Amino acid sequence: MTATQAAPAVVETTGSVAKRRLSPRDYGIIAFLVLIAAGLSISSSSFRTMSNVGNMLNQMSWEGIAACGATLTIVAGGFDLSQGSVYAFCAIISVLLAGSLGTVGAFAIALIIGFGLGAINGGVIAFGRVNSFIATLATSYIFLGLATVVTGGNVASTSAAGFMVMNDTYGITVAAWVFVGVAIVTGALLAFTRFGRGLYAIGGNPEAARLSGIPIWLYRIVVFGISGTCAATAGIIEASQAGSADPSIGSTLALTAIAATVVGGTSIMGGEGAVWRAVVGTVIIELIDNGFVLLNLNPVYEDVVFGALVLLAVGLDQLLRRRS
Amino acid sequence: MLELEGISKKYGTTEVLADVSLALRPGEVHALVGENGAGKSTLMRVAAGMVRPERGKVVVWGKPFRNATPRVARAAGVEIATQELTSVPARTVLENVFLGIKVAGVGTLRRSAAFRQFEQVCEETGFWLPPMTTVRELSIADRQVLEILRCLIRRPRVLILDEPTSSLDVRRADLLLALLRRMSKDVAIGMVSHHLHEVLSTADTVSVLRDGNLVSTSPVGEEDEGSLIQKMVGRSLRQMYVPKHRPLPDAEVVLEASDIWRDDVVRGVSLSVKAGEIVGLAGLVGAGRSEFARCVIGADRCDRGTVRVAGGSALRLHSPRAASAAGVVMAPEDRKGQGLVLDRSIAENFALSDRQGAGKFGIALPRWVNNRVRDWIARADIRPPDPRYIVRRLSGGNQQKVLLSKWLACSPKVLIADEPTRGVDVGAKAAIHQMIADAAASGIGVMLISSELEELMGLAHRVLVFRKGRVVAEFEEGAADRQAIIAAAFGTVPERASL
Repeated sequence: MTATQAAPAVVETTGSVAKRRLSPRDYGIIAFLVLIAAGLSISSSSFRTMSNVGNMLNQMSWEGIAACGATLTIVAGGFDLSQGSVYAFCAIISVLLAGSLGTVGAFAIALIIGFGLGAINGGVIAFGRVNSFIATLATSYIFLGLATVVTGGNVASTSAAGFMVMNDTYGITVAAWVFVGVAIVTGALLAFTRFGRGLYAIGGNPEAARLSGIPIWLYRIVVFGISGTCAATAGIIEASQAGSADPSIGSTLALTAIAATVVGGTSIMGGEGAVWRAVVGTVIIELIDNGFVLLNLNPVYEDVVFGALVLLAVGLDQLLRRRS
Repeated sequence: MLELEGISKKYGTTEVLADVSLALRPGEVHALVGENGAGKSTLMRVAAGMVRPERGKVVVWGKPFRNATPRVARAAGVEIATQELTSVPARTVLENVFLGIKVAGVGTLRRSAAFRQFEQVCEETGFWLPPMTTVRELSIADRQVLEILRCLIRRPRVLILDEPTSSLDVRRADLLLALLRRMSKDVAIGMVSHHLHEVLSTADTVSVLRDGNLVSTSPVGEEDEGSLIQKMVGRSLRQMYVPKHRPLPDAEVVLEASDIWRDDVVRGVSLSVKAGEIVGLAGLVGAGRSEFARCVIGADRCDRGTVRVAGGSALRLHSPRAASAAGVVMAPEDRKGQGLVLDRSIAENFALSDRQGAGKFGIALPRWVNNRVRDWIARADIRPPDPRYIVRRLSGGNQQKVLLSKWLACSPKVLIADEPTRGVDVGAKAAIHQMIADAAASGIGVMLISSELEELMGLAHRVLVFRKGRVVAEFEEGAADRQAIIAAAFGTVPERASL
């Protein structure tokens, strides 16, 4: 390589995704995150404690997992609004089956169902040529209705031994470990595989992707399946931590996941983004939540701040896009 | 009357119009002819305020346009029916005709007034469309009629028609031409046409454009088809082409398409390409060349026909994926819209279509993907030679090189290159020609679609001419001469009567 050339911005090939393009778009969001974290640690001594950090990791885990799945669908140019319903449905399934199949069996079935429901979304979108926004909006009602049917409208609960495994703590809770695991797996899937590159292509230029020989229908089914699996994982965590589940638990999940993805800097237009951005977005949202509690701010303003943050993120995205 | 004075227009670095002056006067039909890309449509769009020229002005009855927009032009009485149909599919014919006219809104009260006005125009012109039908249900020909009615309802003083008969049947085409003759008494009419016989029978004055320059404006009586073609093609700029490698006479046939049909765009095309041969497809825009290519690689469904690849069995390639697996690949004409994922890197664009480039089990670190394409980047001299470079920031020529070499990296048997040098600067053009010639020399069968005759004759071993979805002529190397190809593409013998 010609390392002697005067191009300080372009570093030698490191293979790292973050170093590929250096622009405010890449690092602005991390600076923002550091800023909030620094501000909180200065103004509140309890923020810095390990127990608070562990607590935050635990609390953001289910949202973060859903956001990882949402990132994949958004990169591929779609939306999954049914995540909340899949989440509730799979949480209920895991609770109901825990008694008869044991914890592992119940979790496995719930994950498979999550993938299946997501794949149905993908199938409707790919073969029915329905816009993903509409398709998943419709299926979210169907899945939620099914969840209500299954529970008969009541709260499902279980006392099966070992079901509440997600509360166990190994440094951080099992739930938080699962989040870390999901983030790594989905991140690697997007960055290092043919499948991931295909998702970027489908989101960026579907016609070029098709003419390049990518089976778009298959990719759509799989990516929505993954999104469903992520929602199911989040549902399992919720159920396992509470020991119960009811159809109403997932009402805000899908939109929160999309918000976290966007705040992190993944473009809503598709074809761009990364899983680490979803993680950063989730952390920022959690920090704000945490800050309201620690600083004794009036929690009625929290949603206002949250909404403003999303607007800021999307606005900056547009601004930087126009400049480049 | 409408005067165009010294109009110049550039798109990027390409000069589309260079200092063109023209006048449309009432009392005459003024036809504009020229090859694909000569600037005819752009000139007419300038006249209608749809395109703002870099230099020059548009004067309508003594008043120059200032800050030309379609609205300003319309207010001055200039109407244009473009090639791209601009109706709103979900609304009715009546609503579309009156789109943007305030005076006769299509509200409940005024509907009868609108109706009457519409019926009156229909009566005067002899065209008729069911007013309450939604446009979506209309055929393409009907939509073209709608486009024309829409202009006429406003009683224009200057009427511009871009390829008005291209999708009309014989009867309505003749009706329209007769109407234009009648109207020309008090309306200034400008008409772009590919049909020379139509120009000669209808127009009073004919102007020829070539490469953005006005070659001549003369009364139609002084011209015939031969003289017009001569003026359209006579080109001063000659390019050097790489010497051709002849394919061996007994070379294997790598692509054999037989009897491909699709709607009425591709109508029974059969052709074959040998290993190492470059087959050029000539024809006017819309003659069905790209559509044929898309059928071959399975990007569009064809109604009938089969493809045989390298002596395999006759089959129908049902998807681009199947086609590239069989060894048939296409670099599509619209490299930004169809060919490349602009916001991803060069390497990623390569990796999309190259199955070996995907790594074991589909897993590949970016570094590995990047290193794989360095060789290709060097070979095609893509600049900057950085596999991580985002494709959108490359120049048009380099983008085209990425597109071609990403397919060559798949080691295909057949490469279809559709307009590989469109909008590319001269240097890159020569490099792309070299790439195509090299590909053929290495034993790939190449099908080259180009609107530039120079390019076809300079590169191809054989030139097939498409017209209206059919192959109408074939020229072996050496026998291909510009005039003959153009004559075949334009169908100098009036062909319409036989359709």
